[in-house]
Amino acid sequence: MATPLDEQIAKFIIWILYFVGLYFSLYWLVVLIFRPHPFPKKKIKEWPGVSIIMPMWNEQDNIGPTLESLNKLDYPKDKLNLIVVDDGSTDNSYEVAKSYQKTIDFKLIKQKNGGKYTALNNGLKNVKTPFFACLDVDGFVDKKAMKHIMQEFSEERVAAVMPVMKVAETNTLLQKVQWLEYVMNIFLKYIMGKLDCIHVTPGPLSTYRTQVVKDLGGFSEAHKTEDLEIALRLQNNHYKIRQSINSVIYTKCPSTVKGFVGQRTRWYQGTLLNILDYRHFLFNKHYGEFGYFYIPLVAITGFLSFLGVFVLTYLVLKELYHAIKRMFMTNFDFATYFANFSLNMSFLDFNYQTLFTSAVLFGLIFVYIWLSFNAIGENMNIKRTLKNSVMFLYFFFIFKFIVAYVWLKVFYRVMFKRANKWDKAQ
Amino acid sequence: MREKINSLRHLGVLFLTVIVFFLGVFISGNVEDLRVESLYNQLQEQDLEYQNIVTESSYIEFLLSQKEKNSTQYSCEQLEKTYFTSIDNLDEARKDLESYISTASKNEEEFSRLESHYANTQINYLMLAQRFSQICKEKINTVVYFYSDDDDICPSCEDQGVYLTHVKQKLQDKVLVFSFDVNKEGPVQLLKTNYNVSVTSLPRVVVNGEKMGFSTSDEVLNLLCEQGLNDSVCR
Repeated sequence: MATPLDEQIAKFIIWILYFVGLYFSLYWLVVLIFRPHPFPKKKIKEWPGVSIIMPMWNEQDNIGPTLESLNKLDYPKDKLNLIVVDDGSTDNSYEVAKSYQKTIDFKLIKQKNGGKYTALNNGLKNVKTPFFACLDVDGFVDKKAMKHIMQEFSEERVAAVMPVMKVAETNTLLQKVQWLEYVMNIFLKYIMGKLDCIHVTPGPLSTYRTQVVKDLGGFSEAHKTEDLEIALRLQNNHYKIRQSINSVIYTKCPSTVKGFVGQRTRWYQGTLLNILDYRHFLFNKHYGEFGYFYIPLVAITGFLSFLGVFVLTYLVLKELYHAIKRMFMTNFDFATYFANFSLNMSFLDFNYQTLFTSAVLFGLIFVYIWLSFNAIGENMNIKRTLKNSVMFLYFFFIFKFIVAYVWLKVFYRVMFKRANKWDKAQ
Repeated sequence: MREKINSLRHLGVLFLTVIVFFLGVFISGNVEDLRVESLYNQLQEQDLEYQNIVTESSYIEFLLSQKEKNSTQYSCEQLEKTYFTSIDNLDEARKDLESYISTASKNEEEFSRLESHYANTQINYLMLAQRFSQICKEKINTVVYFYSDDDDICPSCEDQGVYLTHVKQKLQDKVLVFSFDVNKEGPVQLLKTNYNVSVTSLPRVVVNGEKMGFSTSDEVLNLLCEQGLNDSVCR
């Protein structure tokens, strides 16, 4: 029986997605294997001065623990300046922060609500040290994080260093899956860093050369993703961004699907709009791998993710529709169906092209997961894999659908010019 | 300054991707060859079984001519057993053929030949069923179904297939369903002419010689019951 046209198109799209997915997976693997880490760590005799800017908006529950974690940082106290900028909180954040000034030395600035980037710029005005870091108030810093970060500023062109982010709480399955995703991202950024392809310096403890950021005009609104835009601006000026794989920041992530969708919508929409703003990167050889290879990949990832899930959903729903239709036609005669049901199969019955390609792709993903775990010192063995099998299933089959939904929402919002917005959940 | 794009690395990875991609195609192609081989073997065995049944039928006819009633009775039971085992095997071959064709990426000609071979074998078994009924005086219920894969020619053929599968699943060995693609060349065209099947009359269902158009499983079952089927569905 001839395959219907819609199924032929769907299969063709799946093959293209498979080919693209396979190409990029193999590319990262080749970079990892054939390009040892080219950046030696800087040996530091005297630690340079660093300011940590913490923009704060309604964080009365988090500001205290964050300040305490910063107070325990293994970094010379006389070289560390803490700046908290209250962005017009409507709760008691300012008062709570002020109460901590009795025990912890930091500067507290209050401003009218103007958005995170205005708070960062306000903090930046008060920075007198050669380096500064930004820290979201819901992030908790590992003691040695700052020293590890400073060691990555091994050459003058390195303008920013980002830490690795781990999920602080894994109470729900969604948080566990995000934990896995964050771990994989750490490893992917580690590989991307080898090619100078890091396109974002996330909020928690990303550290910059003060003069470079001041010369570039500080932070901008950037569709509510100023951490992404500043990284793109640094790349635009051919500065280098590194990731310090040994400095760890623990961040909170959404525990509910609603919260997750809200957060990711802002991130992905910001990514898409900022790439549109910096579209001159695309296939521009002056930006090397970053412009020719990486930014086009980031630009199409959302579309491919949505397309893949859409096509698979279409095929599954079509099959489901036919199955239900058959049941209706036969008056739900399950007795006859089960009487004839047989599991007799031979090895010739399987679709080996799909089986082989799926095995390769899933195999590569598991290799990445294994390498990611190793890179951050987590133990990954069969027992742990089996114990977390529900998490893996959720990651591969449900999480990807939620992400695809987010992309659909983002495309809709971009097409109808809906602005990005912050809310407490984000 | 930025590092230049490493074209060699990209080309190498592209080459590797193509190799992995075509490795899948290669494995799948080899499995498809094995499927064709397996189907040929199944149909060859089917031919042999057919020859056995023809021989057994001829022997029974010989016994009948010799008026050996008791031996005839015993031989008919044997023949019936052989016939139904063989037709079950033929049905297995059909399932394999349908499944393999739906995922076939090469060997189209071979599959087309196998389809023709299968259709011819079905015609032989259909004639055998009639011959068996005549010599053993035992009725075998047959449903002959003419269809087309082309949705433009026969939009309801897919649904008709669902109904007939349901009938077959319900009645098991009490009915034999023979389905023929009207677009196939060869003896199917003779059968088509015999049952007055045209492209406009599809789907055509012939239940023990009685012609019907599109029919639900209940309609086919009712007709079979009217024609004397002895089964719980008729009660």
